[in-house]
Amino acid sequence: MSTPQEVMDVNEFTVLPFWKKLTLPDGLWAAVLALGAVYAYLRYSEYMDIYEVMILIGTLIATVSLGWNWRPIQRLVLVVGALSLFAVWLYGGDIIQGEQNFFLRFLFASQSAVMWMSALFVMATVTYFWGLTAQSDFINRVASGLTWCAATLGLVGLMVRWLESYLINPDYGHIPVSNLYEVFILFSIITALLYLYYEQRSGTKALGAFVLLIISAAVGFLLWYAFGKEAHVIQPLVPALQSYWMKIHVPANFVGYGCFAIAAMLGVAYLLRGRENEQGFFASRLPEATVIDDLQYKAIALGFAFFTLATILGALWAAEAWGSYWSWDPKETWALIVWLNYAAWLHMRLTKGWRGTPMAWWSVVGLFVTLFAFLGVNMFLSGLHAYGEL
Amino acid sequence: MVTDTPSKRHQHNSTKQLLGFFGSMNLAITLLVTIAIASIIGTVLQQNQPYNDYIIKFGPFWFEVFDALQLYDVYHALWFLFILTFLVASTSTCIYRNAPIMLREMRQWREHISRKSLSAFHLKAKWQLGDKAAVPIDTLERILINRGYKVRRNTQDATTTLAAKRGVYNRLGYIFTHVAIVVICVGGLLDGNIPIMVSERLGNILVETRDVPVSQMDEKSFLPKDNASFRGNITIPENQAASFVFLSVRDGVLVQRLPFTVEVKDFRITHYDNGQPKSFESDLVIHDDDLAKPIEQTISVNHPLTYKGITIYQASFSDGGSKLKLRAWPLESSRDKSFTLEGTIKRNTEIKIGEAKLVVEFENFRKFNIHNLAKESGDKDFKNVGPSFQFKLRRNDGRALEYNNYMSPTMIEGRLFLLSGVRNSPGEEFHYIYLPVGPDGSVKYFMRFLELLHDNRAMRKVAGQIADTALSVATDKDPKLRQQIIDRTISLGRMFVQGGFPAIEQVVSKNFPEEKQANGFAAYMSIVRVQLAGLFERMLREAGTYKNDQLTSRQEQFYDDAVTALTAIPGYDAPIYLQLLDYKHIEATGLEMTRSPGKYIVYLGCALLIVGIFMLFYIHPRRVWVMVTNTSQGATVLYGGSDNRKSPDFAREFEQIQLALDAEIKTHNQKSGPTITRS
Repeated sequence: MSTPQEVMDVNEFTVLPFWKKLTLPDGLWAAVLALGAVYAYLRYSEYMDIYEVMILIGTLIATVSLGWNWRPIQRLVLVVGALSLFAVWLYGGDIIQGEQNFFLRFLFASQSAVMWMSALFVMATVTYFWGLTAQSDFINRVASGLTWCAATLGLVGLMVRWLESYLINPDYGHIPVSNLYEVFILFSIITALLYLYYEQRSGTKALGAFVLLIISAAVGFLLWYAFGKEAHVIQPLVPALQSYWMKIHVPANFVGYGCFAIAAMLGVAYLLRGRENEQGFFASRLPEATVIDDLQYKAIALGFAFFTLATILGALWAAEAWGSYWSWDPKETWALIVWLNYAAWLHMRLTKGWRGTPMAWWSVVGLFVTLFAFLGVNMFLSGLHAYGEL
Repeated sequence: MVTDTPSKRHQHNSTKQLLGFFGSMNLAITLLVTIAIASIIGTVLQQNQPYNDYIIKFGPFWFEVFDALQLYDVYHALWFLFILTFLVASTSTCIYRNAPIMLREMRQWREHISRKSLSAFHLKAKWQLGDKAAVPIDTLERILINRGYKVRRNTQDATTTLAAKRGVYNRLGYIFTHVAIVVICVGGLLDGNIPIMVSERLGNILVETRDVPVSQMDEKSFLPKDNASFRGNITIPENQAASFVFLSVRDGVLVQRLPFTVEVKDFRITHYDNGQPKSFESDLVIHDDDLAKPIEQTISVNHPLTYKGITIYQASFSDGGSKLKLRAWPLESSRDKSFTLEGTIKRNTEIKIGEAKLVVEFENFRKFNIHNLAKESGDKDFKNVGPSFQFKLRRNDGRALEYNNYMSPTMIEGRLFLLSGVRNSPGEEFHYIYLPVGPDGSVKYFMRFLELLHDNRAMRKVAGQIADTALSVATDKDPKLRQQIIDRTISLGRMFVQGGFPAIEQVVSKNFPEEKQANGFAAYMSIVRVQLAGLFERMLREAGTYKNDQLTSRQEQFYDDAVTALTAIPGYDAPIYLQLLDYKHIEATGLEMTRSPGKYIVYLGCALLIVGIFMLFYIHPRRVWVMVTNTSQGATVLYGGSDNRKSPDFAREFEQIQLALDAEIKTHNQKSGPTITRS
C-alpha cells in the first residue's frame, strides 16, 4: 500500500450522521444546485411531463448526494455548469455562432469540446505512463489534473451538444445519449470519473496508465467514427427513442460498462505484476496485488449493480415501447449474457473465495463479452436495438 | 428417544443428497453458463424466421437437425424452459438451505465466543497489560458504538467479552437477490407459452400452417377471449376493424379472440425535415358492449393503450390496399397501344400484351419519398419527390423482375424525367432508367418515338430516305443496292433498339477484322443515329413542333436524353412501362396486443433484485470481538475481527480500532503507566 500507516485518518471509520460531516460550502453548493433545478422547472415545466419532472428532482438528489460523498464532484459540477451557461450565452439562440464565435469555434462548441476532451485524455494517458515509469508523484498529479480537465470538457461538450440539437431544429432536440457516437463520449467521461474516484479512495495513481489506456482506445474509435463516418452530425430521434426512459437507461448502462472496463484494466495490471518478482518494472511500481484485486472487485460490484439497474430500466422501457419487457432481442440477450458472466464472477469470489490470477483473467475476458454486447451486437446482429449501427 | 430405522435414514440421506445437488454452487454456475451459451445460439441464429428461409440457408439436412433441437425458437424450446426450471429449483434450494442459517446468524451476537475460536480469525491481536493495569471496558464499548457497531457485553468470571457487529442486513441482500431470481423466472414463465404448448400436446388446439383467411380456419386454432396470457399481432387497414390477433407459433399461427373490437380510423406518419420518420400514430376506437361510449384514443410508439388488461401497441405499418390508376405503355411493339388499368396494393392484376399474358403483382405504395438532392455530398437539400409504387411483373414462365416507379417527374440538371427502377431480387439496389418528359410534362413524346422504332413502315420509310441520300451522289442507282442499304439500316436499327450499343459492337466484331472494328463501329453507329434522328423528326412533325426543318436546342437535348433512355430499355427488360396517374392512399397499422399478468410479478422481482444487490455490495458485514481477562499479573486483551470477504478495508479498520483502544487504555492508566506487550 502506498499510503503509510502514520498518515492514516484514524477517524476514517467513525460513523457520524451525514449532516455532521457537511460543511458550509457543501450546503451552499447544494443550494446553488437546488436553485438551478427550480429555475429549470419554472422555465421549462410546460415542456416536461411528470416523469421528466421526477427525473429532474432525481438528478438533483443524486448529484447532491454524490457531491457530498465525494467533494471533487462539486467543483466539476460548478465548472461544467458555468462553462455550459457561458456557451449558451455565446450561442444566443443561433446555431451559426458555433462557426463564427471564437470561443465556440475553438473551445466550447460540442465538436470542439469533444476534440479537446480527446486530446486531453490521450495526453493524460501518456503522462500517467510517464509518471509510472519515473515514479514521480508530481507527474502523476499532472496526469490526474489532465484527466479531470478532459472529463470536464467532455461533459461541457455533451451539454452544448444537447443545446445545439435544439438550435438546429427544435424538433431534433434531445439528450445526447442516443447513438454510438454520443455514448462513446459518455463512456469516456464516466470511466474517467469512476477511475478518479477509485484513485482518490485507494491513494495510488499508478493504475491510471492502465485505465486511461482503454479510454484512449475509446477516444481513438470516437475520432475514427467522427472523421471517417461523419457520425458527429446531430440527427433527430427515431420514434422508439422518444422517451424519458432514455435519460436514465443509457447513463446507468454506461456506469456499468465503465466499471467493467476499469476492472478489466486492473486485471491486466494484476497479471503483469504477477508475472514478475518484486524488483520487476510493474511489481515495484504498482500497488500490492491484494489492493488491485480488491479494487477490481469493487469496480465489478458497482458495475454489476448499475448494469442490473440499467437492464431492468431497459425492460420497463421495452414494456412500454415494444410491448414486452423481454423479447430475447439480441441486445437484451447479450445484456443477459454479460450479467450472467459477472454474476458467476461475483459468486466465485464471494462464496468460493476465488482470488488473484484466475479472477483477473476472467475480468479481462469479461471486457470482451461486454464489448460484444456494446458494439458487436450493433455490428453483427440485427434486432430492435439498431440505433447504433456502424 | 426415537432412532431412525435404517430405511428412514436412507431416505433422509437421499433427500439430503438431492438438496446437496440442487443447492450446490457448481450446479448453479453450470446452469448460468448453459443459459448463457443457449442465449448466444439464439442471437447468432436469427429466431422465428419463415421456415423456408432456414431451408434455403442450411439445406434440408441441417434444417431438420436444427428444427429437432428447436433452435429456431430457442427461448421457447422445451429444453430451454427445462434449464430455466432447473435454475429456479437450484436457487430455491439454495434459499431454503441458507436463508434460515443467515437469518439466525443476523440475530446472533456470539458473545460466548471461545478464546480458541477468536485466535482462529485471520484478523487478531493479543495484548498483555502488566502492572495490574485496568481496562476501561465502558470506554472501549463507546468507541465501538461510535464507529457504528452494535455491541453486546458478556461477563463470565474474570473475562468480559465485547461482541460487536455491523452490517448484518447484508444477509438480507443475499436472500433478496436469490428470491428475486426465482420471482422473476416464475413471472416470466407465467407469461410464457407453456399453456399453449401443453394444449397443443393434448390436441386441444391446432396450429394453422396453411395460408388461409381466418374465416376458413379450424375452430381449434382459436383461443378464447379469457386467455390469461398472450402476445399477438394484427394488421388493420384504415377504416376497418378487427376483434382478434394472430399469435405466431413456429411456422404457423393461432388466432386469439379479443373481448372487444378495435377499429382503426387513421394511421399517420409524420416526418422530420430530413425525411426521417418522426412519429407513427394510429387513431383507434375501442368498441365493446360493456362500454357506454366507445373509447377513442390515439396510440403511438412509446404510448400504448391498455383496456381490459390488454395493452395495444403501435408496432408497425404497411399499405392497406391503396388504389392505383395507371397507364401501361408498351415498350416492345408498335401493335399495342397504351391503355389504362387499375390496381390495388397487395393484389394482382392480369394484363395482355399481344399474345403474352402478364401478371402485375402490386407490392407497395409510398406517398412520400424524401431524398437528399444536394449536389455536393455532405450538403443537405431534402425534397419530397412524391409518390412511388413497387410491383413485380410476372411472365408466363414464372420469371419476375421487381420495379419501382415514381409518379411525378424529377428535375435532373434542369430537365424533367420519370424514374423507374428495376432489380432482380429484393437484396439488390434498383437500377433506374430516366424517361424524358415533354414540355407538357408527359412521357407520350418519348413513347411515340419508341413506338416508331418498332413500326416497320416508319422504319422502312426513314431507311429509304437514308438510302436515297446515300445514293444521290452515286452514279449507279442500282435498286438492289438501295434495297440492301434499306435492309441493313433497318436491321442495325432493330439491333440497337433491342440490345443497345453492345448489340452493335457484337455485329461489328463479327463483320470486321480487329484492326477495322473501331471504324466499323463508328460507321454503323452513324447509320443508327441518322435513322434515330429521322424517326425523331417524324415524331416531332406529327406533334407539329418541328419548325424550320431544324431542332431547337431543347429538342436536341430531349433527343439525347431519349437515346440514353433507349439504350437503357433492354436492361429494363419489361414489355410495358406503368405510369401512375392517380391514387387513393389507404394505410394499415400493425398493432401488437399483449396480456401479460406475469409482468407485475417480474417487476416485483426486479425491485427486490435491485434492493438486494445494493444491500449485498454496500452493506459490509463485519464483527469485532474484544475479550478482556483480568488476572493477578494484569490484564490480557484479545482482539478478533471477522469479515467473510477479507477486504483490505476491514483490515485497516481493524487496525484503527486497535489503535484507538490502545490510546484509551494508555490514557486511562496514565498514572500507573502500564507496559503493553502486543503479540
